[in-house]
Amino acid sequence: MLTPGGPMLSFPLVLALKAAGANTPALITYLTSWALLGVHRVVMWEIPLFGTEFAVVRYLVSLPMPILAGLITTALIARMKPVT
Amino acid sequence: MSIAPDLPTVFLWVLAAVLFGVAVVKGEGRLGEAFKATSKLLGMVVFRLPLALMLAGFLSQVMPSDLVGSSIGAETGLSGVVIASVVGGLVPSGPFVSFPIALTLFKSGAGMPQLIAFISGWGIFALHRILIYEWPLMGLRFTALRFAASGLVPPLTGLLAMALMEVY
Repeated sequence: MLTPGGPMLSFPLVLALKAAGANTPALITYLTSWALLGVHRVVMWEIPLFGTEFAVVRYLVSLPMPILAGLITTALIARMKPVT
Repeated sequence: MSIAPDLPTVFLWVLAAVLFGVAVVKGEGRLGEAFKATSKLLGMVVFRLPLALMLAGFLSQVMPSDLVGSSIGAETGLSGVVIASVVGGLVPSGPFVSFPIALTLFKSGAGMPQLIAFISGWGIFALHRILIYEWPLMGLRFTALRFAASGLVPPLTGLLAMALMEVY
């Protein structure tokens, strides 16, 4: 969420986090958060183009999503394990 | 856009002023570094932003606004949210293209929840990002897992926005 910059910055970081032992749900939570809640994007694009109200509503409804995606990942992995 | 400062512009000025103050107080060359980072960013934006704005201008003339209104207008509800999520995910580019497109959709009558779903869809799925970064770097399994885990997120943001607007 606080990582500014485009994908050439965030994906190498995710790769480094993975190498450092971060688990998959945490990485997916991070990526979802980066995709939805990047503060730089809100300030640079959304507030000037669509106004403060739009930016606030979009941010509010996106807040729970990274955690949700992480939880779904955990559930998916738990389901996959017995099969593979 | 008018010359008179609107609320978003005032907010950005205040935010910049506060952060400027923080950089001054904290010192240790932070201010110089901040200006360096700004000019670097400006160098990147100065050529792309006029192009992006032109793109928005041209798109607004080409985009069939009755189609936009009837497929992702405010009254299209859930179906509009789902369509906007998918279309957003198919935009194969960075913010310099996706946000002008979003602006054009906005001006052509797209609803707010649908537009939120569009931006979420672009953020989460952005096809080019998956093909260039995610799949090669993280592998197919990770990519598929992330796709499955966050697939519902863009429509969900749109639905939440719809619910939020009902309450207001």
